[in-house]
Amino acid sequence: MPMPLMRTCRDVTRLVLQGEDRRLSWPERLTVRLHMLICKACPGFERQVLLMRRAMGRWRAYSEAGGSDDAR
Amino acid sequence: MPATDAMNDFAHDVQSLRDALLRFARHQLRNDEWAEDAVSETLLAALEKPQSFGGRSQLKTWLVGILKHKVVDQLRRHAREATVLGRDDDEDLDEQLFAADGHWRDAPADWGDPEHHFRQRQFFEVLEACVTHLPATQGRVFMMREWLELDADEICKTLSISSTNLWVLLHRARLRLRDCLQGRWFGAARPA
Repeated sequence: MPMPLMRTCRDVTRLVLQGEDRRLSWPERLTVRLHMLICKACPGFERQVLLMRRAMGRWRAYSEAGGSDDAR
Repeated sequence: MPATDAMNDFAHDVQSLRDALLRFARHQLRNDEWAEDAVSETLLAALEKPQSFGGRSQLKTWLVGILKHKVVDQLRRHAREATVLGRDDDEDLDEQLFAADGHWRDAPADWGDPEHHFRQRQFFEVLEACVTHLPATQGRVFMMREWLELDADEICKTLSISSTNLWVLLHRARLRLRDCLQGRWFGAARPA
């Protein structure tokens, strides 16, 4: 098994996305967090994923509630 | 008779929400026929059990709650067809995003303050369009996760797919959604 620090952005991206759908194991979380410390690009990706999660939550809440379909 | 009037009002209100429910079902099922069936079953269930309905202001929420179960029923019933992969489903964005050494070709852009975007109605229209443009099977599993709020095991059981398949589909759906939002909203020129 490769050292956590040796993971590529591609690997870490996959883990960040899986983190949306399952609880990552602690070695996986460690891999992600260590990578985020040394990578300039992946923290930006993680923020994008967070924004998408919150956006979907808003959209779902607005669509399900009340009599209006307005996303506001 | 007053009771009959109340019943008629109720039937009318339920019927008036049909379009909203249909749109909801189409997003999740990506098949007009299944969506019609899910909505019809929902309306029937509602009209047969009006006593389980709490208050009029909650009508849509109550109906959506019933619809979610009917949507899952449809997905289970049509599991085989619902998981057929189209050419689009197979396309792998990873190759476009990452160089051979696993580094980003282009670093992900800064999307800024989420709340700034969430205040704009057009943002949600773009989000809806991007979800609608996901390949059908990706769109179904993505919506099962995000709107039906099913966990991975429940999705795999409902659709009779392996968890490996599910991870691939969700991975591709999320990358594609990101790509679409980047192109149509965050990277698009628009009035400030």
